[in-house]
Amino acid sequence: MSAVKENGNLQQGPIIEVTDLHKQFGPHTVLDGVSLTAHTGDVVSLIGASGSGKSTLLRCLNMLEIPHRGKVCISGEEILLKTNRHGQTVPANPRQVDKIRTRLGMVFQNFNLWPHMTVLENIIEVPVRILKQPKAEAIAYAEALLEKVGMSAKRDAYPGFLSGGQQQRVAIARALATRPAVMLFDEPTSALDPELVGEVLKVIRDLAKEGCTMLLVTHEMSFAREVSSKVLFLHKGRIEESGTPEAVFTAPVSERCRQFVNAQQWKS
Amino acid sequence: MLAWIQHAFEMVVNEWGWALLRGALVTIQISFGAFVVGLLIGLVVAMAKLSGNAPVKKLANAYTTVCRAVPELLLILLLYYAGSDAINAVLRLFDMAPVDLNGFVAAVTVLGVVQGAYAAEIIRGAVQAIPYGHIEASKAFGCGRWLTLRRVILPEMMPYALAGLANLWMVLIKDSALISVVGYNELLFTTKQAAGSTRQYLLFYMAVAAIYLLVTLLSNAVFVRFERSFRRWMPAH
Repeated sequence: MSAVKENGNLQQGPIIEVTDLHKQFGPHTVLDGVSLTAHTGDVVSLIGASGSGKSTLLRCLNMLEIPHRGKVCISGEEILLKTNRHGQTVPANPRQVDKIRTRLGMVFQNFNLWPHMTVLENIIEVPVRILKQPKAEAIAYAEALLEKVGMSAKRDAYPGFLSGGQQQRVAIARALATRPAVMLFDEPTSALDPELVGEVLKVIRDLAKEGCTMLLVTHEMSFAREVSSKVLFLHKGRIEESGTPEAVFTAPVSERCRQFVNAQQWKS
Repeated sequence: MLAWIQHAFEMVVNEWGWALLRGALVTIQISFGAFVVGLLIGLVVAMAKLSGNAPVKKLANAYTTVCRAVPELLLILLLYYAGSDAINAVLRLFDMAPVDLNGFVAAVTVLGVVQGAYAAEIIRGAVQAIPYGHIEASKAFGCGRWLTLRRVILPEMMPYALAGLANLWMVLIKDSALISVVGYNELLFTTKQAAGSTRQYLLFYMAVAAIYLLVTLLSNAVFVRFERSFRRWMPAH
């Protein structure tokens, strides 16, 4: 299969542009002025300790978390936010958010497949219901994606009858089905038994090789080092270190990043 | 003994058979109508409780509290008599002829409103049993609120709600007998007439008990099938 084509317009500029993002949960500051850009074909890994804000940053891109301040642009289109009468930041136009969300393929830590739909139904749901693709076309593409993630045999199974690794591969196919501009992976292997991690990483690695644009939150350091074009290390809601995988993993400037990377390498 | 059974059969089936059957049919119609009304009200109220703003939530809570607190019998009497008075007072204002409140409509409305309060709680609990991630996935792919409700929340909560809703239906079949107090010809009211005019109280009340039992057994069979179908995506424990 050819490289993943995206829906929405092809942009010359960055696909993702985040400027000075701030997010608080109550008194706790989770993101404290984060900026990042990603271009077509980039594989950006977000690493850092638990609670450093990397998942929150990813979830701010599709407004599953609403940032308090800052700017998020997807394919050059800024997500418009406003302050409501309770003083909360909310999307100015929910339809715009829904439209942009169809260009972002999200893969969750807990898979979050819809359990009452079969594998195939999970994959064609959004293309058919939201993107209004003809059903036959959506099914054909879904079958190609299932082939790609090695799940063709389970086409008509319900997610509850699959292993975690199989569910996550289906979840990746579901996210690819909308031909997203960017794939967002939120710790895709953290909920898996150790022996199932490999099959999921293989699928992600294949996507990276095809030139699929991805943002990846992960604790798999060697994997991040292998597939990424850029690695960001987050600490206390700030980007503490960023650069090529070699730079971040072998010659980090920041002391904290050095400690984190070393500790992780000892583990594996 | 044989002669008595023959006599009893003659009376229940030949003389009153049609009337009882018609009564049973009315009972089922009232119950079904009230069940549908109750489900619709319950769905709206459950959603109001789960995602409405503060005043809407308060209103929904007040509704479920009051309707589960006041006896259904009292609500039937209130709506039927006070309700028809109110309607006629309004009609008089516009110089229109007074109407008689239709017993069937009154029964379906009152029972539906009461059932709605119970259904709302069942549905609320069932929706809360859905892992939030499934709803979040729907949001993350750009499905709007309505599509998420229709395609994810409703089908996914059904297995959790079904046992409670089946209970509700069973209670409803029996509660529909309350409508006999306003003189509407459902199963129990018909039986009372039959028993009174033949003076065979034991015979007719036992017969009607058997009919209620039969309806319940049939409903059970239907709900078992529903449950099997709604749970097909759940691995057996």
